Amino acid sequence: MRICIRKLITPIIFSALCTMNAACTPWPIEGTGGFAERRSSVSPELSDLANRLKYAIEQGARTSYAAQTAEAELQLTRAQRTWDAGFIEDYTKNYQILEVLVRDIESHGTSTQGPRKRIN
Amino acid sequence: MKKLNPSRSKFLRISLALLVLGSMILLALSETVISIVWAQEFPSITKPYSRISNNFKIPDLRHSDPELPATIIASQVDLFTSGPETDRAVTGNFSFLPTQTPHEFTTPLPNDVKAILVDLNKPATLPTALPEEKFRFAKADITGSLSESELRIGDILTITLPGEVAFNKDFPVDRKGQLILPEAGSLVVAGMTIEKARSEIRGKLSRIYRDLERLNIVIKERRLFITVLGYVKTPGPIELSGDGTVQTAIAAAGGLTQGAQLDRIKVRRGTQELVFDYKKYLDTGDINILPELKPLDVVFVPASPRTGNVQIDFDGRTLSEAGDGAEDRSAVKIFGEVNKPGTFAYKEGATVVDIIMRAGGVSRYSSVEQIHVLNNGVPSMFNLDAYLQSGDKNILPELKQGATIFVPKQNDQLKQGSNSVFVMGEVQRPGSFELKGKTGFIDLLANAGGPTRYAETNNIRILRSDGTLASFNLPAFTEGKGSPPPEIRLGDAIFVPGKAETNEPSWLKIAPTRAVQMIGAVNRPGRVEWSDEMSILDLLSQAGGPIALADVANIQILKNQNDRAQPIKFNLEKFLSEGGAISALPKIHAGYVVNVPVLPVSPNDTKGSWARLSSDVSIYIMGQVGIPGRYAFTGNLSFLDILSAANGPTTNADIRNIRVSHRGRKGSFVSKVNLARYFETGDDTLLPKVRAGDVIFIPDRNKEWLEDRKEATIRVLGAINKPGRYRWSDDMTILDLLAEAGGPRGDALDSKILVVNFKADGEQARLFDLFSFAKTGDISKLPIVRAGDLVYVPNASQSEMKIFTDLLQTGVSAVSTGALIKTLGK
Repeated sequence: MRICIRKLITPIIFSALCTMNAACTPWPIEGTGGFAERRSSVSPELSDLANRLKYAIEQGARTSYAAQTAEAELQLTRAQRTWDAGFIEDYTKNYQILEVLVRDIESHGTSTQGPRKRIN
Repeated sequence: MKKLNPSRSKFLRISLALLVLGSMILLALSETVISIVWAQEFPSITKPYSRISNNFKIPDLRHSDPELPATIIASQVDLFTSGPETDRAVTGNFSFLPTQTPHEFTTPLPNDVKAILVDLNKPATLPTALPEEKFRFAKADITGSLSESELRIGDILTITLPGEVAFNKDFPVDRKGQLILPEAGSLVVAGMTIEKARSEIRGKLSRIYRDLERLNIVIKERRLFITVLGYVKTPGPIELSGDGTVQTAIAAAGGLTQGAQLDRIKVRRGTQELVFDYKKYLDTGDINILPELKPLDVVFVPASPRTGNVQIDFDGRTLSEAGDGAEDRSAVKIFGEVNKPGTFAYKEGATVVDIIMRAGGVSRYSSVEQIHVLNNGVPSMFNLDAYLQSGDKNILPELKQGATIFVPKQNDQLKQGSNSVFVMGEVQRPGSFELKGKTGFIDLLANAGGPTRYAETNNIRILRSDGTLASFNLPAFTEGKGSPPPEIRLGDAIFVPGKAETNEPSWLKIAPTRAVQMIGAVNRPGRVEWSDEMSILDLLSQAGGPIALADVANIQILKNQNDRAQPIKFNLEKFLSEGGAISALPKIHAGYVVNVPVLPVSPNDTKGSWARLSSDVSIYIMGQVGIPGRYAFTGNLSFLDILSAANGPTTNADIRNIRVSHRGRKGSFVSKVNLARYFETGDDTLLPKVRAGDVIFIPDRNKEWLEDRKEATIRVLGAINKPGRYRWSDDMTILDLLAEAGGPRGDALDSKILVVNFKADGEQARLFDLFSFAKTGDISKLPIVRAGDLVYVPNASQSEMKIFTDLLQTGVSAVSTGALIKTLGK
């Protein structure tokens, strides 16, 4: 009986190791950036754009150019989230769109040109 | 030598002395007589004139020596600006005409001249040597005096009597020649000298007043009452100064009117009638041509016979250009191809050339070889061309009074030739035209100015010289369909007929510049002949008024200005309900277009009727309403009106999220209407103010997710209550998404929620530990989620421990089973 038990231990341990190896399949790492607009840790250039947009809104852009301002705010949120999530290419694209929008809003005060086309 | 007797010698000496003395006395007497004579003719002025006109008269300087020159430069005439001789003297040169009396200054005098002194002791600057003694006159005093003149009608006397209020004022001599004296009554003084009048007045007043010692009567002013009638601007009685002339009288009557005949103006004085040539006076300035005016004279200015028997306003310049002939019998008439045909005054010795020149010369179309001249009914022909080339005066016919000259037209001569073609009928300039070289039908029609608007151009007829007929269709030819224009030969005639008459006048006969076009919802649209005195109300009446469905609140007027049409709008409905000034009605002029729009019958009608509704008077409603579309909208309607007109929201309408886009305002503005809350509260302030141009959208409660693109949605799978595709907005987080999907189920592995991101440079999976987040609230642990991503909520069975225990259980069972079989086998 002792021999039998000794013979069983080896497959039991082997089976347990195999089971543990199978159960320990790795999970992805935790994501970030889902609510990055509530945080201030953004890139310096994006911070500058955000300040320009904020100033334009204080000057009444939300009333005079409501659609463009809303679009800019949405782009700002996207840029902040992609930056925080480490999506560099997506961030670059969002940043460029946001820069164009902010420049358009700012230029309305001195130009009679209509809003520029959206860049996608 | 015989010695004289001493007594006789004494006698002789005495006689000689007496003779010398007598001569001296005679000489002295003669000078005294001259002085007396001049003293009578140059009486002293007792008081200064109140006014002296430019035509002030001085007494006669006539002399008896016929050898004296007719004109003397009277440098000795001094003018004094005030009474005393020590005052400023102005020496002037004035012409004296010795053979005429009375003499007048022809040089204007200063207005402030109060007296005139003629110093005849100073020798005049004479053109020739003259016997000086002829001018050695005594120093004459002042010329003429009012006090010595007879009183006339119009004179004004000043009668002063200290202490009597009724006096000390002016007393005019009225038109009856009498004065009205206070309490004493009337007294005729006209024709009396002032001294005689003083005596009469004193005698008249002495019956009423006792103390007349200080009564003083002087002439203050002389006036002239006359009447000016005829062709003057304001005929009637006028009042002139005492030295007024015909010219001042005409000026006082407003001046001459156009058509006055200047050479036959009359002055009537009682039964006497003086006719004078005022034109000659204006030409020469000779004042002697004008008759001297006297009180109650009537100046009559006759009308020129050229004014005719009908009173019309005419242009004097035009009339003048038509000739200056004042009398038909003697005037020379010229007409035909001259630049200014008319009737011209006959002058002795005038020739045909003179009259042609006065008529502005011949025109370019004149036939100067055949000028017709009619002298006393005897016709003759004058060849001006030959006269100008030869200079032979024998060719030039003598003109007589009443002659008639006719200059014919050159074309008239062409008509008789055989090298012309006639164009007749409805063309701009019918006539005969020369056919030269390759002149064709179109050339001739163009030379005739082309067809008029009334021409029937599809049946132009050509009358051949041989009597045959041909026709030509011009419109068909211009469209490239018809036959080419017929060949035109000498002697042919082109006849362009007019359009056939109809019962109603052709609308073509009302030119666009005289008509207003009325279109739209009126009973009789069409072109209406227009006059600016009419208003838009007249126009609507003429068009039979608007129909029942006419949108009279939006009448459109297309204004024609500077070749551009500008639209203006008129709200007749408002004008009819509220009234207003007629002048506020829009001004309509010929050439305008007035359109009365039609209101749609019903929204269920075809959309064609809606297309005619102007977008700026419409409101748009779309989404979950009974009849979405475009609706006519006025300022009196509200949000609920337009919602009701669209049959209200449907059962699927999301009335909590109605959106209204307010267009046409500064900036963009969308308002959100929670109609459910309005029905709960009844608060009208929740309803937006809408106006024409706004857009109302009522969304659907049931979102149709499947219509969205995969890039625009997020898939939520796994242990979730409502897995599926969800719309995503970047202002949402994963928490919103999970909430929207009903949250994880009870068997969900909420600590291992997986997010698959599709980013630009590839895909990646990230973990979200909802359980841990719920415990810590660390938002940095929220993974980024974007449209197109996948969220998977694993089941609890997919946890490591569960897998481990399951595998372990399976392994143990297997080992146990194997060991048991092996044991049993032993």
